[in-house]
Amino acid sequence: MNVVNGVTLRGIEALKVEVEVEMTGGLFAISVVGLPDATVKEARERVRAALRSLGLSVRGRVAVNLAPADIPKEGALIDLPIAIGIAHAMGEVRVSRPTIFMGELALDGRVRRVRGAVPAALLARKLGFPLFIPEGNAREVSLVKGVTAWKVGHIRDLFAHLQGFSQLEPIAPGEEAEENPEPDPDLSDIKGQAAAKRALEIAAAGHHNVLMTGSPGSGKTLLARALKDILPPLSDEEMMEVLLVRSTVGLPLHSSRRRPFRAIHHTSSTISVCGGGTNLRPGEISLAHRGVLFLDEFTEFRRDLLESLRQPLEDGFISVSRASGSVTYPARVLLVAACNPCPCGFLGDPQEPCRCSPLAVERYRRKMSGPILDRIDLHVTVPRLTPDELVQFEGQVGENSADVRQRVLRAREVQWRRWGPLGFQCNAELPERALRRQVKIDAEGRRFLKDVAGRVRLSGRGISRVLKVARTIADLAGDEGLTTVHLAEALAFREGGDLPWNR
Amino acid sequence: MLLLNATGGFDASVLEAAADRGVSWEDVIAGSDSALDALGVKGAPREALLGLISSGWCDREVDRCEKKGIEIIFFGEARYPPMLGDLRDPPLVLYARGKGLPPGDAVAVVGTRKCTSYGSGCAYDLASMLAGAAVAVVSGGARGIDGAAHRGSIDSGGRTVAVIGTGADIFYPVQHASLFGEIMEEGVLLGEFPLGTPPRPWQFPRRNRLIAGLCSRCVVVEAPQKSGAVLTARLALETGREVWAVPGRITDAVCRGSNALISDGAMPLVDLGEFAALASGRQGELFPPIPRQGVPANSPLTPEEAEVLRILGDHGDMTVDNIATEGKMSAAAVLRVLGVLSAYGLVVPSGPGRWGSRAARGA
Repeated sequence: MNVVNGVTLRGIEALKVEVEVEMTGGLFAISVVGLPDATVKEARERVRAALRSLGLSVRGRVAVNLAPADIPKEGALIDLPIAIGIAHAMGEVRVSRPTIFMGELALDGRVRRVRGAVPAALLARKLGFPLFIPEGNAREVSLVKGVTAWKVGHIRDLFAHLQGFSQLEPIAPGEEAEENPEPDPDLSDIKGQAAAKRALEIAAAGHHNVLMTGSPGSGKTLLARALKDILPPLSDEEMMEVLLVRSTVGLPLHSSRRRPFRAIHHTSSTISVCGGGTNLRPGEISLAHRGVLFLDEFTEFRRDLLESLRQPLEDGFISVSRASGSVTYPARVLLVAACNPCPCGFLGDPQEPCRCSPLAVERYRRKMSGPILDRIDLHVTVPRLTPDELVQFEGQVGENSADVRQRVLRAREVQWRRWGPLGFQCNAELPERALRRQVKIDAEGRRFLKDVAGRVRLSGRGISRVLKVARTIADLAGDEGLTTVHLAEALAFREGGDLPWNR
Repeated sequence: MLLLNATGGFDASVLEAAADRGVSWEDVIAGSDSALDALGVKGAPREALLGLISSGWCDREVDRCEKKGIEIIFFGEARYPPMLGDLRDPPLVLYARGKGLPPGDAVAVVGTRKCTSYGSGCAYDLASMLAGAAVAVVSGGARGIDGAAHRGSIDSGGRTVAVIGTGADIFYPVQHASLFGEIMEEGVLLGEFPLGTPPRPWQFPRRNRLIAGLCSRCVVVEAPQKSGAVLTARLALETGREVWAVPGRITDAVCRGSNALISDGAMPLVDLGEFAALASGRQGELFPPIPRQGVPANSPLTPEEAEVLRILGDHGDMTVDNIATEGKMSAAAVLRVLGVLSAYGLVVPSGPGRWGSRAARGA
């Protein structure tokens, strides 16, 4: 059995790579086989130099095989196992039991930080192998409980450890997760905007996607950022998923139950949002996994980019296909989109005149349709407050995020109890059929909905959205059945219901 | 007459000239030089006229109109609206498409294409009140105020006249195609330009004189200083029509022209109901509110709804926060009420996140 192992990343999963080394006589050459990418091939030089820094000269023909042979290996994290594999073959060190090594080597033998330490730690835990990781990755690995790991600063120390001269420092279980991170921003920091705050509360409770329309400077971005802190805190499992994605991308980690918030710009490429690229990496939508994905200037986004977001919004994961196979990244996000009411942004503003021609507004309106809009349940407009109003609201302190979150948590629990047996978690996930069958409306509410749907020309899909949102509103209130009260409020958030051009 | 009209630049005065100088129409149609000289047809129009005569355009135009169900009304015919006789330059020919000119008085409701929601709301409500009082609404079929006026009249079952600045077979703007269709069901599309005439800027001031001629009162809802609507008002004044204007905010450029009209002596329109009563000649009668998108009789307003309506009526455009503070309600309650009221068309969004009352303006 091969004892020296490395890892390679596939999606957010680490795969074990066995490193086999054969040394024969002849002219010096190192060849690496087993679908190495360019970085892995270059490992030859780094490994040779690092070993040389220890006074170890590699001679003869060295064949390095990375098994399984049919999976592409990528990244410099495989430097260290190759070096150990060669040293093991030369008899310099003895690795007595299967072990996973990871790390990039510097020419002088230092071990550099790599991405993917958390997936590697999870793999090591699963296999029950000890793990050696670069010192720079120690903190993230410490967040994974139940793994035996050592941190390596220099390859010299690792040699000494394996030869039994000295001991490396084992990684102690790290800091506990930050339980209640301070909301940033807190809802009570935002003046006015009661309608938008209520929309966010409903969004958080039922996992409904939101579209906010408002003039520049009305506070759409701030509101979107506040949403992450009224969502329920991350559970242990969810937190590990978030860490996994971040570690795969190589972002700094911190242990916190705060949900991620990622804003993407409309000039972003599809790859940066969805993941992929030559070195497969998760995109922004996966970094926002279990958190909030914010699309500002929604109308400016390219159609194909929005189109590619549709599937993950439905499935909760995103598949990136390449010639060598496809990888899957998690992508369960709450989408918040924001846009201006017209190209100049001041349509209907009480102070600033709008400078758009009717045709330009018409064209802008038409852009606000398409695949993603079908996935958005809540539509809310955000007024730009006049200076007078800002002063007027100065004294009032609104509800803080923690209180809202309590209600959200309760509503989530109710939904979980109700839909759990049917296989859903929240109201937004309800398919049409379940909606028609399981959502009970009283007779008066039914009459009201029928009457209003005719008046405002609600489409079938529009009615489903109103029903879902109304269900969440009822859950927030703790009510069992749907009545006119809930339906009426849900109507205020219907598509286009509150835009000045829809009259 | 069709021929002369088609060349543009001729109006009914040419008929008098012809009678004065003893020119016979047969000679004109034959293209006789002396007849044309006597009428003073010179230069490019003369070339155009001769071209049309030689190509038999007249018969084809009549054919086309018949096919499309477009009526051609000549000056002097009984069908020709007598009001247009007041114009200095009444058109020789009118193309009419639809059910026909509504009898009785008509009110012109005109204004800018780039209107505010307040303006279009006023135009809509005014037109629907007039419709309720059986007064026809004349406007220009354009976007903005014009469109809102037509829409208001149609929604309340009134008859409305759209005076268009293109050929009667062309819908301009195209977004109003369905609106034009509805106008034609009860009212009429009227124009003086030959079929196939595309929209060109200089045609619209020309059509404005028809609007001024067709109405007995002309209301300018919202118009900036340089505006076709102000021009229409001026023409209406010259033709001896009453000119009214809806007062707007003095800070808005979009109201500058209409407000200037008031300061120049136009009558300010401050009460829609009263004006409708005046226009229908039933002044002093109590006017029942127009049963349009009202609340169904079997579910009257809840106290909360009445309160929100009152607040919006008192203060104008407000955000949810303002309403909640003023009415001492929760935001959720306000949203609930707005959800219902907006569905019934009693409140309208006036800007992103702002709401205004409809009932306060209408009743």
